[in-house]
Amino acid sequence: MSKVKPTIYDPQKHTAVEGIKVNSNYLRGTLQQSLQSEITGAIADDDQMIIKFHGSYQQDDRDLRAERRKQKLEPLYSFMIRARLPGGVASAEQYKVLAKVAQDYGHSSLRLTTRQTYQWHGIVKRDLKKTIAGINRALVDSIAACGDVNRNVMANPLFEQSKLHTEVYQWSKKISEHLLPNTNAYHEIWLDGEKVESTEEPIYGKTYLPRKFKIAIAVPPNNDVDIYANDIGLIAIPDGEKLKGFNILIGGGMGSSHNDSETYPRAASEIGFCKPEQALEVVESILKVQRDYGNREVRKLARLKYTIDGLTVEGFKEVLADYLGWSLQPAQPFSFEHNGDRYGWIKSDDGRWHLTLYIHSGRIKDTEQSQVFTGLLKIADLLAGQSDDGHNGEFRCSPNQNLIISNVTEGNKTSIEQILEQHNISIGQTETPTRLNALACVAFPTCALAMAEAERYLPTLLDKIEEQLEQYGIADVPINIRMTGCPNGCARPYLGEIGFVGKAPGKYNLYLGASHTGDRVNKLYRENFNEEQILKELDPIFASFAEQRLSEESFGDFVIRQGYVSAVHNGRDFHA
Amino acid sequence: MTVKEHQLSNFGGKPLNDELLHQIRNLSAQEINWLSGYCAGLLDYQSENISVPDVANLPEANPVAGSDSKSGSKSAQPVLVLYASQTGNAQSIAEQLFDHLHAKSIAVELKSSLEITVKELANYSAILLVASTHGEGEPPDDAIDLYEALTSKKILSKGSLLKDVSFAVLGLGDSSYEFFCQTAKDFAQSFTKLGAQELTEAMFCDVDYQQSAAQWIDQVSVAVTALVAQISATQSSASLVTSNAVIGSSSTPIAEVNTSYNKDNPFKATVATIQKITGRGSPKETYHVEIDIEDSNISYQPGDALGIVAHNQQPLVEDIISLLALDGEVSVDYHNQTLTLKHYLTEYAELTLVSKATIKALLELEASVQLQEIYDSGYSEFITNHQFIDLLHIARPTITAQQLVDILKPIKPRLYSIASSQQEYEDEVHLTLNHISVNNPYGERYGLASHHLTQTLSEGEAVSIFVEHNPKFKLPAVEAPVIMVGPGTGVAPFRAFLQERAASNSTEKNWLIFGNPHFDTDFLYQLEIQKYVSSGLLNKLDLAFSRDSEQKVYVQHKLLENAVEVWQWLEQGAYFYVCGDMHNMAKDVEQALLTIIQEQGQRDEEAAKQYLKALKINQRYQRDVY
Repeated sequence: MSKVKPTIYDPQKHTAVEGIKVNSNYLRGTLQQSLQSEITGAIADDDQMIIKFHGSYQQDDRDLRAERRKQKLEPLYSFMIRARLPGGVASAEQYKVLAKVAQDYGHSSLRLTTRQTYQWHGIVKRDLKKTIAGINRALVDSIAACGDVNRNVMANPLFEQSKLHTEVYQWSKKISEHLLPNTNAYHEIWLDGEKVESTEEPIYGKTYLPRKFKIAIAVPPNNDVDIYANDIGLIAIPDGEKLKGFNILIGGGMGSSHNDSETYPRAASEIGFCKPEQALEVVESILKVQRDYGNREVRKLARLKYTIDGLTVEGFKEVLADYLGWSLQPAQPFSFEHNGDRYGWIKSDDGRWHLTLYIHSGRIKDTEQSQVFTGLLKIADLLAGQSDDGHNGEFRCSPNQNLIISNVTEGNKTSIEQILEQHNISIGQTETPTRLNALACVAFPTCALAMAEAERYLPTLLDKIEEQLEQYGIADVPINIRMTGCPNGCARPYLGEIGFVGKAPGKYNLYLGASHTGDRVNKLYRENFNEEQILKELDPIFASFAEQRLSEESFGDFVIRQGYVSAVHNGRDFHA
Repeated sequence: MTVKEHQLSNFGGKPLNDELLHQIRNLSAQEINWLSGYCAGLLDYQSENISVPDVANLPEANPVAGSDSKSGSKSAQPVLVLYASQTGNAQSIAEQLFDHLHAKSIAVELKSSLEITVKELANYSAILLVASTHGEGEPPDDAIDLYEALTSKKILSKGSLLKDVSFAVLGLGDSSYEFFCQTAKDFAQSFTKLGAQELTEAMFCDVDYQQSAAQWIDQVSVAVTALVAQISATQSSASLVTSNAVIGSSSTPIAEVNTSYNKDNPFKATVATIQKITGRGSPKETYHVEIDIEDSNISYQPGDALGIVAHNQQPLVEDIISLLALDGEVSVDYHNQTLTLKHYLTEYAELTLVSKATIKALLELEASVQLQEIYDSGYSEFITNHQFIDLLHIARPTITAQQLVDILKPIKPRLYSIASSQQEYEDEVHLTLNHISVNNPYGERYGLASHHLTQTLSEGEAVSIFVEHNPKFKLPAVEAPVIMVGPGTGVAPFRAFLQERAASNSTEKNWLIFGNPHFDTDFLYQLEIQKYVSSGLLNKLDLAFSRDSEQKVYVQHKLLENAVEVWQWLEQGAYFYVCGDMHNMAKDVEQALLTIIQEQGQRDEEAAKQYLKALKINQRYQRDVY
């Protein structure tokens, strides 16, 4: 047996959040009372932490905060709900239900996330229960979509090898189910489920994990899940058409705090290989090591990446072997080619068609230019209305906030193209590769953490950057550009060849030098820059890139070769 | 082992035993803070006393250090440690300073910027502020109200509010931002403008603030100690050195000054604030208006009304003149005065309300089938969205200027229930009103005073007012529970009631029933009501947001839902108040009340009416409906 004892909650040393978890009666908290209170659109402070474990965050419209304070009104509170959708897959029928819920309660808008799922925004407290119950009618839930638990498990599609991909997708579901919290709180609170008095959390215990926990599976040569940004990454190693096993990566993570060199983004480290049937045991044991060794005294140092750097990778492997009772085999060779989405139609080996649509900032909402919400709902209606073989088309979230309509028959392909055309929905044929690869988080007005704009501003900045790229004749070279409103890393800004991290309204830290394949994080280049400064700084770098680029050299590698920034090989280099 | 621990264990050849040292090392930061303050105080005490107090009594047994023969009963103003904190750093420094001063037995209070008003700042001998800055020089969320109040023109015009106060400021910030420590700087500037004296030089700390903050705490506590000594020397019988300072609410009874202002002799007051208080997307345009009555000697009681003397809008006057093809400069006689027509229409004529007599007079001048119909059967519906000018559009009469004067009624002042208490706002009157604006086929029509107050006037301009006392709508003269039913702007007098009850430290129960269309946009005074609920002043609150659910829920439904409690309160002697719409709401509420008396009091209809009548006679059922 292991030398390590499970974490015992220590109110003297542990953060307040740990206390909230312990006292929540397995994630029930006082949510029921909070939902009933009519005097406020908010929920109690402690419940704001608890509700994350149920897949929801309390937010408020920050554009209106000052105005409403003057109006003697509380902030305009609303809730974000995030679905748990392993591998990002929903059937056409399910998509229909999810979109209808958005019509009823969520301003006819769905937000695709960077972790292959949907979010509903702007749900007011009095509609929260109805919304979650509505989502449940699609047999989808939001359990553990946020909070200090394992979150949505990602898995990228590889349509060219459909059998391998199907197997991998099944593993993403199995891992997600295996690591779900055991508490009945979700069913009691949201679905009027019967109250269960005794609850146990065999994997998590009363304090759950010290911090959020993210798992992804990548199928080479695609790294569109950004495998190196996850706490656990599983890289599928094929044996012909079948799955041979997984290489295991640990300790990736994006979040950091401004001006705090103790915190840093970190690309995951490879620690070995396991067979498919060992995968559940391996991920559970890694999660348990983190549960027992993770820092519960300082939340910003609580992610697995800091636990690993505290123990060293080798040290962590030893503890893991202790938990497993056996050691991982040596990692197997593989190689990644890119980490972006591939737009347009792809035909898979089973003769089905798959269409990746470019969804601007992942926002499925009708605008004057493009009626993407209505159009997609029509496609869902079309596919769901058919009963060919129960396998009539799926809506898949890509890991980069885009949507894939997959498993489409030859016959439906034309109808879908017509609907897309009628609603001005882009399939990514007109945008530059840089725009297609760009990612931004939600930020203002709803995210409470945002210090600067992201989703609402990136398109404007891209217009100007594209002009520069055009001027130097490098508009066809894909450059990963990512922008977040704060340093917490939702759009994985530290894996951007150019990363912008918000500091204040209109001001960003500028990061350069991540690899194009997503296995090396970038490094701070300039601090607190406004748009004018950003463009002035980038202009000569683009000029020089156009002139001195080696064949097939990516922008991220170029800036390092030219010495604009030095390469970050491990987390602690980030601030060096 | 940290450096500090190393020093501790080597100090003077280890004066403490291992067990005690071990215990100290296991204390939390807060406990260590407390301990360091305690030890400092203990040292002071030991230097003046022989015996050491019992350890078990420590937190309470605050030895009255320095309480020598000088100490008397008159207490001086305490010191305030104030923090404006976003992430808790400023708060933690403030707590350290508080502990430090507390340990020196200085009368000191610790408050968040959320818990204090500008006026209350004057109750302290010194303000020691720790303030962080975030974003582009913005104050922390909890400090925004205080910050805006302190930097407002209204307050800064009161130049000497803090003349007897000293202050010290510590700013926390991040020097990579353009507006480094701006909040602390702005606060310091406002304190100076209000006459306060700087106690020690302000310190502005960067991201690694710990060391400078500790230094500041030392400096400030030396300066405060000196200040306290100086004050107690000057006030020979005063002592700041108490273990538990209590500031009484210094609410002075308002003198019953008989002001002679009335509708013919209004007071020219200043509109200080005009603020829309319904949120974006609301179907209502409700405003909160604050009127400055300083130096007027006006006094009012909660329940009284404020009269607004407003003039007709120029565009309306001009439209009437041109519609009738008259000359605005022509002279007319009105009550033995000679005026120009335009002057008369602007200041003396009632143009927004339509009297039936005016319609009749118009019909006598010019026959009109349509107008006749309105006169005969459509009057009450017509006046809901029409004004005098619309009659002219319909009838198109031929009329002289003098005839026009003769058929119009004199302009009336508009009365609004006062929404404030002078116990809370001595020099102000607050109103809650809807901007009346309707469209009809002939044009857009506005309410006389509501348009004047909310659209025409700007903050800082003059408005003519007088108080209309209303003895029939008053808080109980005796201590008794109150039930207040005030949907929409009907909440106004109850805001005054609650302020009055809060200021007079009433311990009786208060129940408010409020309603409006939407929770998100129309919860009038939501933030204030939330505070009254959490402070316990409001014992019960019921809300009816009629458009948020499929079935429309109104205040009377909330009464019926709570029938058992309504009856209990009434039987306990509760006073029942209704304010707002006369035509529907007040009738429905009365019907609900009768139903409750019948069902809960087990009375027949007649007996219930008698019960209600008795309530009225005993002034326990009061209405302010319009």
